[in-house]
Amino acid sequence: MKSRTIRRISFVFGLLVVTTVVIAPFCWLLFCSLKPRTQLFTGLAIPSALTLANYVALFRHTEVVRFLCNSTEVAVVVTGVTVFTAVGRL
Amino acid sequence: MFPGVVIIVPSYNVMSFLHLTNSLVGVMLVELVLTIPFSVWMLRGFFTEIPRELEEAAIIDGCSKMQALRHVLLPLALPGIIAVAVFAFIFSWNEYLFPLVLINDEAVKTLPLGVAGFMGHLYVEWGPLLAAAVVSTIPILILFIFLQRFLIKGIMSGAVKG
Repeated sequence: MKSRTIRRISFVFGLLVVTTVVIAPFCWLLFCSLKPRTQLFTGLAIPSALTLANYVALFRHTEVVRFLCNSTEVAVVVTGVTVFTAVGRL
Repeated sequence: MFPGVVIIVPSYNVMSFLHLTNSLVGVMLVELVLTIPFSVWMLRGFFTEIPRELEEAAIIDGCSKMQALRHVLLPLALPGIIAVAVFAFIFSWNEYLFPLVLINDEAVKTLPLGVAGFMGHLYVEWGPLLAAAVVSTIPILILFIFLQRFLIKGIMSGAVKG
């Protein structure tokens, strides 16, 4: 009974570790994208304020919307054609 | 599967012969060439898992072959089809190499190229780069939230089939 509990706990612990390893880069990305530019390289230090300035700059000054449309177009067409061909082949 | 690098030069040659460099159609074609074989192979696993008797029963009950496919086989293979669709979507969404080779024009760049474009020779625009990376993960995230339950069922059932 006891060894079973220990095994269960270590299993859950292992899952937690793996999940953390997988999710951490995404959290880091989100966190850094919200930092002001001057504090980007301060590591995990809490920034003085979280801003959306990066996003504003992204949508104002770059063509990201066009890239987004292009990517969506390619992905949707590829998905559609792939599924139809694959189902049709069978 | 072989590394994608192997077919870069030939695919560029073919696309320039077809005058499809610098256009999204060329990128689509190259990506389709990579996704379709894998998808057919993956879906085959799903369809062979469905007993043949079901199709025969539908035909005895008066379905034509196409009706049997549509009303009996497709609903049963739905998790597989969704798994394949998600695979194709994510593959083509993430593809960096082929657009990089095929596209030069700013107007037809895809998102991964755009993200990479923030890294210049002398200066990296970290702010927009990070923001663009977040923006490019969001559609995939939304897709997964909606299709998660189908996908988990799909991974389980199509995998082990000789």
